[in-house]
Amino acid sequence: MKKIFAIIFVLFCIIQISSAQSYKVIVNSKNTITSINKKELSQIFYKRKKKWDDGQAIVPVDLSSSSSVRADFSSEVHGKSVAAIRNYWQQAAFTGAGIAPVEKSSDEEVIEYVQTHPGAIGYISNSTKATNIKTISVQ
Amino acid sequence: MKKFGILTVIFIMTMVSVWGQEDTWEVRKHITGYVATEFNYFDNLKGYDKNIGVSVAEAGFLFNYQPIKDLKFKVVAVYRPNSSVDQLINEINAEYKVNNFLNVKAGRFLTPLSPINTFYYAPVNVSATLPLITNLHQVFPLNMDAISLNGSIGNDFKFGYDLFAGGYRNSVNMKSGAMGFYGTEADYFENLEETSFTVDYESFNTSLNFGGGGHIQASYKDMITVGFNVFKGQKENINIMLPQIGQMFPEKLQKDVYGFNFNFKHNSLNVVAEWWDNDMTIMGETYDTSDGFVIVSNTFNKLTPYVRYEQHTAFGSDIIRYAAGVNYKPIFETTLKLEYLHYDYNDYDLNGLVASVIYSF
Repeated sequence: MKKIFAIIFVLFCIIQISSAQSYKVIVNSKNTITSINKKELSQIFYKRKKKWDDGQAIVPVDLSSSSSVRADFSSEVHGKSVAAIRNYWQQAAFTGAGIAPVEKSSDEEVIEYVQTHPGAIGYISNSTKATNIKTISVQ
Repeated sequence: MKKFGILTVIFIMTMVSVWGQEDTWEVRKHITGYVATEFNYFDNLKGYDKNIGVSVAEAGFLFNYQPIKDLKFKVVAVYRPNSSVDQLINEINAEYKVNNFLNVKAGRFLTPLSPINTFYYAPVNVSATLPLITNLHQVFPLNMDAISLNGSIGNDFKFGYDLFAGGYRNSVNMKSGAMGFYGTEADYFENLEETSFTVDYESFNTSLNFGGGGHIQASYKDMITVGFNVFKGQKENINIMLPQIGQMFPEKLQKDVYGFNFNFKHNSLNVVAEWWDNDMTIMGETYDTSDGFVIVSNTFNKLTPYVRYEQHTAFGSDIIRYAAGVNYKPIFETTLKLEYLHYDYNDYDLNGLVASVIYSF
């Protein structure tokens, strides 16, 4: 019986670990924001919300479309696949509605971009150490 | 002089603030494109050698360049069978954002009237065929070489406008699709019966015209959008052939066009409807033509089934077209579309099938 409980416990832990958020959201260190909800975050990456509360223009930065971290971010924040988001931006580009956020190919490039752009917001892998930027919680 | 000095100071301050913003701006370049290969079948097409066809129906390339935050350049080149070099350049324009409520765009761009006209390109249009209003292009031109003032204001409740004026060439009766039938439907059906006159479309489409119009729209949370559109051109040169005389006559054609558009989006359901009226004056007589369509689609993960109903009324006859199809997009790079079409014109019925494969990059 103990063995069964132990197996269940281990499986539960594995499920918890695998379902943990694999990304963290980062902003420029001068940004006063400390947390953000997923709906607002989605609006920012769709470029529908364009300004922070202090009036500063928001500059979202994405990871490249092949990134697994982007796949998790897309699924959890937009509730859509990366392909669906790329479709949205292709449509926006052709119809003149807008251009997709800047894409960077690595966490390090995203960090550098956020460090040098006061209004920037991006996301990186949860395991990547980030300095001189602010990590905000996602609700 | 004092006024000039104040204006100079304001100008310098504005430029300094703009330069300040540009310190962290990263030049943006964006390239995308597609190739659409189409299969077409019609069961009862009169005057055509074959009732089946396969061809590259459309191939498009888009380049966006944003050197500074408020300035964008856009180039869209689209290849279609039978299109001229001039028609290859669908769009080439620059747009400067003065503020949130005012953008100034100049160059060649898709006529910003019917919202469906801006969904002209194959991968962004859910259906395999375009609505008649954008395929026939009898009501307003596909694109214009013009200046546009446009913008929007508001968040949940949003108000948008687009005012434009400039030159244009018509693209009426231009063949498209694998069999070159789409775009020519009005002429095709009218010629099945005895017509009082025919038009020399080649000269009609190459003569340069001048016109302008406007589009205003109001929306709530991007869920419901309603809009009103107006287009008016100067008199267009048109050569008309009277069959009973067998001679071509130069004439003038005047269009007075207005239309309404409606869009409802809720979750994955999308309803798009438009209605257009054109008071067309030719040979001293005014003809009232109208166009309308409604498209209902619903996305289930990667699959989007849709149905469409359309009516094109001109010279006392109606072309009614029904379409039903599915759009399947398993990955971003590939779109598959399958569509059944039924045309109803007086005593003539026509059934068609379209299948298209679109590769995007």
